[in-house]
Amino acid sequence: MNALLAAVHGAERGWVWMYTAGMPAAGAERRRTEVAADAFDHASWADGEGLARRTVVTQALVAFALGTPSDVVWRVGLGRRGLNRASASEASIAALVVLGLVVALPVAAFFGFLGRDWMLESGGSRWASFATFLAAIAGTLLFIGLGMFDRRPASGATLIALCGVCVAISLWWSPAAVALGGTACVSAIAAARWTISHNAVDN
Amino acid sequence: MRGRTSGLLPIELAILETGIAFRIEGTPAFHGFRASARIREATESSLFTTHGALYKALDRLEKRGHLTSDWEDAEIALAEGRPRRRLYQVTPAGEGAIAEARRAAPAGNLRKAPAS
Repeated sequence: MNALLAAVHGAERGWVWMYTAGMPAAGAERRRTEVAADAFDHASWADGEGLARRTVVTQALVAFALGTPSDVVWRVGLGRRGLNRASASEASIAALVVLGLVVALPVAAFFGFLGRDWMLESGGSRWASFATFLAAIAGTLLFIGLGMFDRRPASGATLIALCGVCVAISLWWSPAAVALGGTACVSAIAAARWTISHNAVDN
Repeated sequence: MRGRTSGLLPIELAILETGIAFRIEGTPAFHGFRASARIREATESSLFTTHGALYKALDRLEKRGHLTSDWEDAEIALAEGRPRRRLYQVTPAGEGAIAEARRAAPAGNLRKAPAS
């Protein structure tokens, strides 16, 4: 196993330890062992397939990064066992949205001010602070959208579309970014419509 | 519930169908990575199902009685120098859920599981 892949898997194990902390021991140990076994199997499989190191690391990194919102939703949901199933689901989503917004504001402000100061000192425009602010919001929307996508694909896709809009606005001067943002919007909206038309019935 | 085909999310349906395929091949017990790799092949995706989505789905299916699970023999894992795997099997209730999903949606509407 290459060092970079080991680092990604190590980071993932650390993340699992973090979000399972405070859970009942059996449940936490089960999740940690399963993810550790999965990481080991992935590395063994990659060795057997003779895949390029970059490909394997990308696979592991993407699986890790895209799974973190679901992990947060899952963990928040476990804290609401006293509620009935539908209420727990609603509460999990609501908690994630609130968490996202609570995180978004200071993060966006921090990067906004940082970007503004850096750009002003570099002789750049004030637009940079607004762009970094939007980028932080976009990241948060993406995080929440991915977290919701599993159970609420239409709502998740809408947030991902809004993320695309933020990216397009914040990088408006770049035709490539606008094209990327526009494509993201159209794709997410199409995905939402497709999902709805395929039995995605709102509660 | 949103995104469901007769009570199953696409990833849940994919897991159950994968479990049935393993049973037909003679190895009914499967672990998370094996299911993920098979789903990846079936969907011709370059990405694996994320852990966050995969293990949540396995957990939900087990709670609903569509899957059973147990730890593999610790000595096997020890001998191979790796962590123990949790092995899953599709139950008759899981088979029923697949059949119900197939009845509820035309074949073209049974979507492939997403990578995340």
